[in-house]
Amino acid sequence: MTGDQRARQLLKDLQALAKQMKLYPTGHPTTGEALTAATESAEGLASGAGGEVVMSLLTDSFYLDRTLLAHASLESSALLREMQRRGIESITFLSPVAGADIADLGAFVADLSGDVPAESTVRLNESPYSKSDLETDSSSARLRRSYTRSLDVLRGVAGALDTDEPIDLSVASWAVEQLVEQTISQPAASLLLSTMKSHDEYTFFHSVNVCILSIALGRMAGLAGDQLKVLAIGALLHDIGKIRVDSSVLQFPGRLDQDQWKQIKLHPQEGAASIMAAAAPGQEIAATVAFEHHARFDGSGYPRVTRREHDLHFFSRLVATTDTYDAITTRRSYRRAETPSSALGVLLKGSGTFYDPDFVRSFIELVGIYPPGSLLLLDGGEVAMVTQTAEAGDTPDLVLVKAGDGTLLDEPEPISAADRTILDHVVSGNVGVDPAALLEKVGVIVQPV
Amino acid sequence: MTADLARASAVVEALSAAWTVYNLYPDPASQSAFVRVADTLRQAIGDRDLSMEVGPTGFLIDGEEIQVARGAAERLVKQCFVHNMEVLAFSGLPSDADIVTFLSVLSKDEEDLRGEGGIGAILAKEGISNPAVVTRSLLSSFGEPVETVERDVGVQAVMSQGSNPEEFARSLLEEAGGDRDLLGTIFHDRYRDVFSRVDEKDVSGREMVVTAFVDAFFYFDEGSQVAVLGGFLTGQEDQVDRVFLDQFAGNELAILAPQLDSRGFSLLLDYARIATDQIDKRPEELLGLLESPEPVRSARELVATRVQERLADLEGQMPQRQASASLRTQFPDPAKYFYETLDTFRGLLAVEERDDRFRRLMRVLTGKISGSIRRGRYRRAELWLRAAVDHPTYAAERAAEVRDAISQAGAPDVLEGLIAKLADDDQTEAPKRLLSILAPDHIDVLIDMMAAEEDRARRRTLLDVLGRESARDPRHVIRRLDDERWFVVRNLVIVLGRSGNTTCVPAVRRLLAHHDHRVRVEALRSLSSLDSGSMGYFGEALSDSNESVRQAAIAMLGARGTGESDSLLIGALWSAHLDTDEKERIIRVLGERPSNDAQQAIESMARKRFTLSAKVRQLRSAAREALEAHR
Ligand SMILES: [Fe+2]
Repeated sequence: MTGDQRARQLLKDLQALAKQMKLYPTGHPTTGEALTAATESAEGLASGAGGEVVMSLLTDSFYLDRTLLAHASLESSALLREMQRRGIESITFLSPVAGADIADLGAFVADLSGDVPAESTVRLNESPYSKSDLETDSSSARLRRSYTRSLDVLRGVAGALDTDEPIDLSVASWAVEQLVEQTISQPAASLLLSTMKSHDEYTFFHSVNVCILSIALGRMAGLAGDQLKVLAIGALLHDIGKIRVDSSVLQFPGRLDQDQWKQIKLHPQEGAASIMAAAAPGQEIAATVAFEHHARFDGSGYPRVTRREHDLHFFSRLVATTDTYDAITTRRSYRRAETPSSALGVLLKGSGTFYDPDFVRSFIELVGIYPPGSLLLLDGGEVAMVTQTAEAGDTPDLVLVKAGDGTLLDEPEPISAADRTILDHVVSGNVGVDPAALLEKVGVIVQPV
Repeated sequence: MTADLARASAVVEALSAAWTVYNLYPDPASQSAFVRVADTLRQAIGDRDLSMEVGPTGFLIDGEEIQVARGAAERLVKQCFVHNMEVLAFSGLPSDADIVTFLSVLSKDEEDLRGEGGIGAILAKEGISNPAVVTRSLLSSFGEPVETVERDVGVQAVMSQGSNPEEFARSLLEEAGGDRDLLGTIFHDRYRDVFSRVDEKDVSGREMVVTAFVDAFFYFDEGSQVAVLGGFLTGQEDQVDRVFLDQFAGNELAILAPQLDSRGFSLLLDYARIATDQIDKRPEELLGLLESPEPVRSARELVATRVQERLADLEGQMPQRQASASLRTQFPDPAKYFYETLDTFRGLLAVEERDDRFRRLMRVLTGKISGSIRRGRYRRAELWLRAAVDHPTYAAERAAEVRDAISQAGAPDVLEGLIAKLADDDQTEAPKRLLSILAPDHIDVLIDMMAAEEDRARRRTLLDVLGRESARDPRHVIRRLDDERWFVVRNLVIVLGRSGNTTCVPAVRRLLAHHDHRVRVEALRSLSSLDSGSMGYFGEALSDSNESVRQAAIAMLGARGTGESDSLLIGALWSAHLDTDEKERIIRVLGERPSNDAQQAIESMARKRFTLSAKVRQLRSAAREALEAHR
């Protein structure tokens, strides 16, 4: 595991531990398990870094020593804020990390204790790094922030739906406004970031990705201003009905049976009804997008709507295209992820029947044969990531992310595709590459000139 | 048309109707409409078997298309076609439940059906043999239902293991004790053994077996995958091994390619070479990669051309049409968002089968109507309302619920807003129509509002609205006539008077005895417009203790101008309850009247000789003036 992956694991474990401690008294067996897991992760992280490691919390990001933890900052943004609320600016882990010290940290994060003992193997706010050492207000940081905010919106919406409270779409429209701005000003970086996946929050990451892809596609088709914003709200919320679907069904590791499918198929109408209930005039069309995103161009699909007065909405047809693309390139529990080129193949195969051929064509024009973020297997067994869409007939910009012997490179190296043989597209999950981290590392390269 | 075609046409027509009904209702079997079409269908089938081919645009018999008028038939056949059906056949009469099950299977997504082994397999699983179907790709299930296929115990075991490929993979690994070569052998042998034991006709069974092994394969580490693959590559000439290899996309094999030994690598090449000839579009890129003399360019081009070829195909389909130019002409019009939203709402009402969810939609509806009114978007409120009630998309038994939801939108502040708007501008149509829809369920609220309303214009509007409502049904207002506040009662009486509804007469008459004279006056006014019958009871009012009541009675009787009213007035001339001024007014009223009785009464008054009292002199001169004027 890389330091980045260990840190992600540790943050997840800490979050679980704090949650456990809030729910159950100390000594509860499940709390013990959570504590063991978190302690092991912390120890792995500290010893892997030579015995001592500092995790800093700044604005909206975690840093591991000097390195930004991009994925973890998105994934554990709730924990980040919770820790910041408790006044934590940094946590230093010293190997061997003691379980009791992790328990103290957990209790402190969970707001069960007022302090952690000094001189332990887990120390708060003793970081040698200053803010200026770490933070830059780079364009990639702004992009990442808008991604995080959109994720937060979805988390909030999910929470509200879970407890049957009305959802608040004003924050959604605020968040997508920024995502629209970022996607327009940094199209390549946005497309790259849109390849982010999360197993635990599959639906949320998928939704933000579809939102980014839809903004880019809508923009390419010529939409602007409010139109893009409304489209973005629809795209961001298109799958929120899934919150109502039993998670055991969503994560079912096999082919779904009839009842399970029935449940899944309710998500468009579930989402549409929730959006419709919450939407202010002008935003309501987002409900149409949610309602229609699984309806097919030729009238098949679900829900089966028998008495329409208009064809599928422009926005729905657009989102159906980007949704399919992102879904296919994402590994889900019951389906292997596929490469961008096979996703494009699926779109092409369904073009004119399932998908609007105009959008399929535009989408391929948008992402190209080698979409940003896609991974290519080179002749020597190395893996490179596409950072910039190539014009037709041109070679894409690449960075080498994995060496021929299978080791991941700490610093991705720009390479020229012209000298190399591209064997094929590969799936990111299979090579352990994290697009968000890469975006930070190759940020300079993907800036538009 | 031959007799068979005519019969088939009736069958298709009935089945299409059933399909339509099925799609309209959440629980079609309970719909009388469905039972009717099912009966029609059975009649059309009759006692002979019928077998039709499924074409892309219609059903056929012996290659001849069956003519059907119904548009639904086109959708039905399309759906059958999508599901790869080749033949649809009836033998004997299907029950209602058979038809519903058939349609429910038919309505599934093609992809889902494929996942479950195709429509034939699912129908067999559901126990439906009538109608029977033959599908294009799968072997016949017609006449040879899949359920009769005996599945070997070992096959069944693998099938059930296939539902958990990770576990299946682990058990195979364990069996091999971590030895990769052994794993390759075990996997290969087990696969071939189980596959050979599946009945040749049990297509879905074979598919499940292959899938179980392929899915498990992906849970192995790369080294094990390479070992397993080796066995299959060696056996690729064999049909059974080929089936396994054909499950992989080219890129999946390409990932493993570098790790194969040189023999494996050349076998992979062979496979790719054969596969591209024989299998549609799978590992062609692999072949390209491995064969090309100019690896750098061609490899890239291959991935690119594969996509571009399809782009070119597309281009062929839409000549001279640029995607973005075409999209530009379809841009959504924000002015239409609202109407599209209504359409979506109607769609939601149509598909929502769950009671609690339908109730939530009703709450949305209530909120949208009242919210629009609160924002002064009356036309929008009306359109929301009409989206729910015009040409309903939901089941008829939901109508009361919808009606109720609409009525809930009439919150007091909403009604007040509408009244204020109308008081401001009574020409505005949408608020008027909204009020007429919301008012009936909120009469009491409107009455309270009227009681408290200080603005005259608004009060007048309320009187109008309540008057219109009472014309339809005055009971609500009548029930409130015992209000203790005299002004409330007076206003209610005005309302009833304006209603023109004669059923109110008894209730208003009772108010002639109301303790407040202002109510009594208004009751007289209302009665004079409501009650065209006998006015005998006005006589009492002429001797009311209150002057304004008496005056009102005189005015009303005068306005009535019948023999009865004349004689009541004449009688009053001699009543002791009236003062001279009132009597003088009566004389003037009677002076206008052409009747003999009236003229005689005035003349006799005018002829009075010995008039010592000033009062009588006053009346006499009034009578003379009246006569003068009349002449
Ligand atoms: Fe969806």
